Amino acid sequence: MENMPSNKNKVWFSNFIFLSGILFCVLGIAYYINCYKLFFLQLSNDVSLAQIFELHWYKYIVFFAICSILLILGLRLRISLKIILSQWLLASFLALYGIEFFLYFSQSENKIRSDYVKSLRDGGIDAYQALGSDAFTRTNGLKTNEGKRILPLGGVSNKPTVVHRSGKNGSIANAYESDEHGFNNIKGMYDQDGVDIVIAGTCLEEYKGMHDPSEENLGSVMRKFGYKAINLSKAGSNYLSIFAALKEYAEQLKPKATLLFYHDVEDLYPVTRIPGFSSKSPHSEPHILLRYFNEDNFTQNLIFKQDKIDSLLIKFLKSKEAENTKRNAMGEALRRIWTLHNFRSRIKLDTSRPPPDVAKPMSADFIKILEKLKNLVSNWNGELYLVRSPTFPRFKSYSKNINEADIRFKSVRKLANKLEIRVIDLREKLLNLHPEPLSLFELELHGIPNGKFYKLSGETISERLRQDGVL
Amino acid sequence: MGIYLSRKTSKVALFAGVAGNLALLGYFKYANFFVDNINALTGGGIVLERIILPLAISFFTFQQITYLVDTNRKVTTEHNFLHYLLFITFFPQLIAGPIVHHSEMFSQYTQDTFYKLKAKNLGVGLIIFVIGLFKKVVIADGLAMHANPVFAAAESGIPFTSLEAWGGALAYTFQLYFDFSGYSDMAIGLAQMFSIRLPLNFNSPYKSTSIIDFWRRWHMTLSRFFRDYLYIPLGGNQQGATRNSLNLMITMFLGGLWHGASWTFVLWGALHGIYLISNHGFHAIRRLLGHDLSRGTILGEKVSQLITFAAVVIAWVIFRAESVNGARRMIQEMFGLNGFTFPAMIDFQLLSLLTLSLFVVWCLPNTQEFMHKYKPAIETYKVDSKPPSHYLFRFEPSNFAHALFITVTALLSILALQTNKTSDFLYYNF
Repeated sequence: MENMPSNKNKVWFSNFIFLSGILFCVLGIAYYINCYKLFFLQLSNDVSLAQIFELHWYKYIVFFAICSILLILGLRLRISLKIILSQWLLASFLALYGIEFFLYFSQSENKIRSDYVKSLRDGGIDAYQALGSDAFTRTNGLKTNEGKRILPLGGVSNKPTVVHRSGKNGSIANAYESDEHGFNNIKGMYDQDGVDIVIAGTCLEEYKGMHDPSEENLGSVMRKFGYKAINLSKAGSNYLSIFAALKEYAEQLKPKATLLFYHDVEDLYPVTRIPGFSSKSPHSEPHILLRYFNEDNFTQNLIFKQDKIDSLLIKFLKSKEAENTKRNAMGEALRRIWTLHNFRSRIKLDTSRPPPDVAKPMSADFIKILEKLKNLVSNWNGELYLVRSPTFPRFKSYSKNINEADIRFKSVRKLANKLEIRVIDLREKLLNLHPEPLSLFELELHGIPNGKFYKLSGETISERLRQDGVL
Repeated sequence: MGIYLSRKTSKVALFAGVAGNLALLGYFKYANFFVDNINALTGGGIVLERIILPLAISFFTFQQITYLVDTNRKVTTEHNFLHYLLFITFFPQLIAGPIVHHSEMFSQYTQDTFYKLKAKNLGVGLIIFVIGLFKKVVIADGLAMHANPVFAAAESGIPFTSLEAWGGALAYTFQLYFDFSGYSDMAIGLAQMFSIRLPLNFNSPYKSTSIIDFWRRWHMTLSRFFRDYLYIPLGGNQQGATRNSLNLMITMFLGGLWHGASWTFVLWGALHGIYLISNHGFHAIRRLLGHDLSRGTILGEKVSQLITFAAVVIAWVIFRAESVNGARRMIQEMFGLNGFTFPAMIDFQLLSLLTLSLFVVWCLPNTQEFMHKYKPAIETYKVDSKPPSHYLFRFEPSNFAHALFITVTALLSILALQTNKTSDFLYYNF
């Protein structure tokens, strides 16, 4: 650049950079507006302002708008300054995308779920991606042919269900065979009399950190101990969706013990993000999850509607797959690079989900949901246990808050005692006593438990259940 | 106290002021050390609650002492209280230096430019800050992952090989340099954004050709303080060779102790005292033999550089070790006193990091040389300051390669901040 032949060329070059920058920003705005458009096409309700702000894409639109205004103003700068600035702009662009390219191509193990599903299908196995409990929270479920809405809480039944976990070098996909309602259990459990244990939690209880998600999870461990245990855990759950799942499935099974998992970090999708939860964002149609919260005897009778759920979920997943196929692999790679996906996720600037914080469960909503859970379980004469699951530093920010987490849990324990909910603290009873607690975590990555952890927690829990005379 | 001393010279008042500052430093930093040693010697059981060290006390105590001493000497002419507070608490350099001198700072506070943000200073400051950040979060923290396990093994008696010992020692040598000089760069960069120039704290110390040279390049503001407020008042080199040696030993012993209440720091200071005495003795012998010390061959210079570097590395082992026993084990293994041993596999990541670090400290200009055009730091010692000869090593805002270098450096630092385990600055402990 230093040896540019003439000042005229330099001016032309700087104008070109500024104009390219403006064009880039305009494309950015158009891209995120399109993201909104595609998302809202799935919704049945009218779009509210609150929903727009909930999605975070507006931040990128504002960012690009400000940048484009600055670049337009930059065109009027002094020539010498404009030339220097244009070089710095180009350098920033090249540096940013150079690093993004490097990150993209250095992730050799980034075999995501859709690739894994495809490879299973190619081998003649009819597999489907697992759907988190929060998959339909924003859209208030799926629409049936009759025009009614249904909010699935399980998954596609009796199919290989592909999940993924974060490995040391990126995501690793794996599959479990789903049960009759799409949960991670062996088949035939719902037909048995006298279910001993129901497990209600999130991805950590469903499959996380497993080499073989069918075998190495808490439900499987408890069954190996000889209990009739059903795992109703789903990734992306919140306490309200857990209540809903227990209402839909556990109420029919009437287990002796219900294990409700509590994590110090906010793994559980915050209830406050359910559309319409806040009175400031009214919706024409009440959200199905909110009906569980507000109406005492509300139920969708999901346990009797699995065929319908299957057809709706398969239709939904196939349409998603078709959408993904339309965007070919190169297109997807370009989309990821263009949106600086790897760079943003490395610096935690991926705003699709907020970073995990130490849970703040003592809100009035949490207390009410816990009360509802206690009442629900008491109705079938079962015993509800609040299980505090690994409180080992799971996220970088979490380790700093470990004491805060302990203090918070004290208040949760107090509330549980008040509601006569029994508490099992795995940190106190397992991690604190273990000589090498880190060895209980997959790849020694903080917080992703391994088979050994599940085995030991299963032992700790079953010992307590026996002591209490529940089993 | 300063205002009183500015009106009236008083050795008693000065003594009270200096003693008050040193008493606070002594209490917070050395009381536990003192009690532990008394207990060890007498077998007593004096119990003292663990005292929490106030952040930056070692640094601001020295700045206050310089102010009091110079006020009593009538060297300080300005006594504006707000300026004094700013001098002590100016945030970029408060926590880990550079240790600033009132004469450098007060004159800048009175300039109008200090109260205005200037685009040029903001830009230059930001670039220096980014370079410092990169040194800290990418290089120093990357090296820490390799240095810490070896020193931990030495401490706990876990066996390790000679090559691993050298790897750990070199990794720490570079970690400390990039950590502390990175911090100093960030301080200088931040101050520059406010149009304030701080004194230079590092001038490529591992390029030193002697230990005397090393102390003119490493933590320059600390060595300046010890020279002006301890070594020279003790008599400096004006009272014969023996007295000079004693003064050097006292200065370096206290310099070691300043770093922390531990025998390893005392030993490190004493070792550097011995290095300096030997260095002065060697110069004296050469002078007696009629050698011209200002002239030397390139080969001689490189050999001297290598010997100095090796001596510094050995001293850093003592400095880093948590106990004298840990240091002993490291040095024994490094010199094969239990036989030379080699690991089953070479750690290529460490090897590449060490090679990169060596290349940076020996072959590249330092930050101040790179930014020579803007003279962002005050020269702590009079140095022959020439801009680097190659244009790639002289920062020019219109140079595209420089723009690319700085933006890549900034982005890698941001990535490292989020993905690596970032440790505290090593000098926060002192």
